[in-house]
Amino acid sequence: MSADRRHIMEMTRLVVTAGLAIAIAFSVLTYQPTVDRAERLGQLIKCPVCSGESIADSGTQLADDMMTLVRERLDEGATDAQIVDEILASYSGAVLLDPELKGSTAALWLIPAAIFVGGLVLVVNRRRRADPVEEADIARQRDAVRTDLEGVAWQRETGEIDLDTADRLTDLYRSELAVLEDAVPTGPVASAEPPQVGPWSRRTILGTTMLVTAFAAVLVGAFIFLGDPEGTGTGVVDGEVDLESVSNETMESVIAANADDPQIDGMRLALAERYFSEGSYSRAFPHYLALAESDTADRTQVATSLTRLGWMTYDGNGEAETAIALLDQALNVTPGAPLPLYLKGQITWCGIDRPDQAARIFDEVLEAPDLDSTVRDAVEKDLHAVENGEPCQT
Amino acid sequence: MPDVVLPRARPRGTLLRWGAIAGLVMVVAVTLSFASRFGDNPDMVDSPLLDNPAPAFTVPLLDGGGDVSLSDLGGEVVVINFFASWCVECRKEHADLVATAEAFRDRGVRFVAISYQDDPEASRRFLDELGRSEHTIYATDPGSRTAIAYGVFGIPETFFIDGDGVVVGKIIGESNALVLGDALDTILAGDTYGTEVAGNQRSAPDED
Repeated sequence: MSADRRHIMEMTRLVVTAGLAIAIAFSVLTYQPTVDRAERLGQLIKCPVCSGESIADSGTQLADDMMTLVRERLDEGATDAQIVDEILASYSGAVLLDPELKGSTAALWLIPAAIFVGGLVLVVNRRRRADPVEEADIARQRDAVRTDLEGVAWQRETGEIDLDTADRLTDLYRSELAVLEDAVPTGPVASAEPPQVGPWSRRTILGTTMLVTAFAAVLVGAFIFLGDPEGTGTGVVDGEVDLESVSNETMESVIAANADDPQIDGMRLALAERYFSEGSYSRAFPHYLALAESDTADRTQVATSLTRLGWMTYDGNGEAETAIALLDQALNVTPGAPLPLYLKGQITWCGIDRPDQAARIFDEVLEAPDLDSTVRDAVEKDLHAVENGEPCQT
Repeated sequence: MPDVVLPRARPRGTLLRWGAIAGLVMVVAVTLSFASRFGDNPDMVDSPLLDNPAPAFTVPLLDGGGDVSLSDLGGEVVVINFFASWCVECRKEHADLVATAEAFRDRGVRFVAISYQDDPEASRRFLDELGRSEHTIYATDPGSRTAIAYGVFGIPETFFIDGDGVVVGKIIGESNALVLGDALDTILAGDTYGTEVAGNQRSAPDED
């Protein structure tokens, strides 16, 4: 083999080896195992049931399940953004440990950042101005202005210059002095020693205040933008419900779930009355019956229920005797009550055909004090019909 | 007269005064913000699912074999309740859920109760003790996939899906029949219910 050929072979081997090394190095450097990506993604997502922990760090069941989901999605070839988007679609930005920058959170980022930068500039500027050479220069200028002021005062006293010129120069020098004194500590700068910068100069205080303000703004933003725990429902939870607007189904479920609660009697009677007025006797019946047998319902609720049961028994089933028995029970609870008495009179007249008894009952109704005029008119009309032997009119 | 370029003069104390005012305003704002949020859980946020299509799911039935998919219930209002045997609040609201499922059965409402991070046997014992609704489908959620898809922070948590498959309501924490019925009345009237924080909820079995 010639020397040239050996040289070519060596060069070729060298190039191939170097290329292989570069390829391996590139692969190693750019390789991102799924596990690492999962951990990295997990670090970005807050565990929904923890306090500030990522799903990668938390040991809760939900966090573990979410990490498993992340790994599966990665194995399926999903991108990081797709996986984060999937989580955000369910949980919103509240589960991102680094809140995303978008419209509603822009202020959360930008305002504190602006205030922070402003504060930082002021503090740094103050430190920059502490340069001893610059400060000594300004101090020399200040001392020169002071000398000029004294000179003007001397010239005024000796009459070297007129008063108007003296006043004008004095005002000018004083304003210059004020600015220079604001820029450096007061007192002469006697040596090359750097002037001491007070730790609490006005600019430092202002800068610090702005930094604190930036921190406060972050807190306010976090509370304002990241959550609405009060909800947006109809307010029924806060007791703002209007029972008139509640459906029969809702009242049924509330009553069924609280059957043993004495406070439910009022809602049960309201629902039963609603069914009764709709003519739905079969739905009203069990509620009136429950109230009639209740140990907790008050006398009015029991009497009303027995009265309704009595009328429905007659009107719905035509059972006059049973109806009268129920109305008698109502009258035992509230003796002399006009409504059960009047209904009893009507059933006695029309149901069991005893007009004489009915007339006596109607008379008894008319003796009731404070009888409603409409009821009185109806009873008087029925009494008149009974006494004249007319057929019953229910 | 000194040969110097003078900085622009500024009234003394103006910067400091405005800085102090800004700081004070921030402190007051932070205090009020903390005070107004005291006792609230900042995690309880409006679900991003609201007014969006409900995530599809297929979950194994708790009793017997088979599974149920959301698509099986298409066209009806679906109530999805996440519960567990270890959740005290779930125990308290159970009777109300059963009663509501019964009361609304004739109005095209289906209830799906999904056991959340619970041993299926424990969930079955829970239902054996408190009773099952004949109009509720009881299911499990392996790997919490459905809970994650619905963004569950804790339980009980209840979601409402209208007949078009859109999430229209969410109740956080222990609810009751009045709240559930109010939500269903609203949704059946064609409106969006939104989010209601009804009571406490629990995020893990060992939570106090």
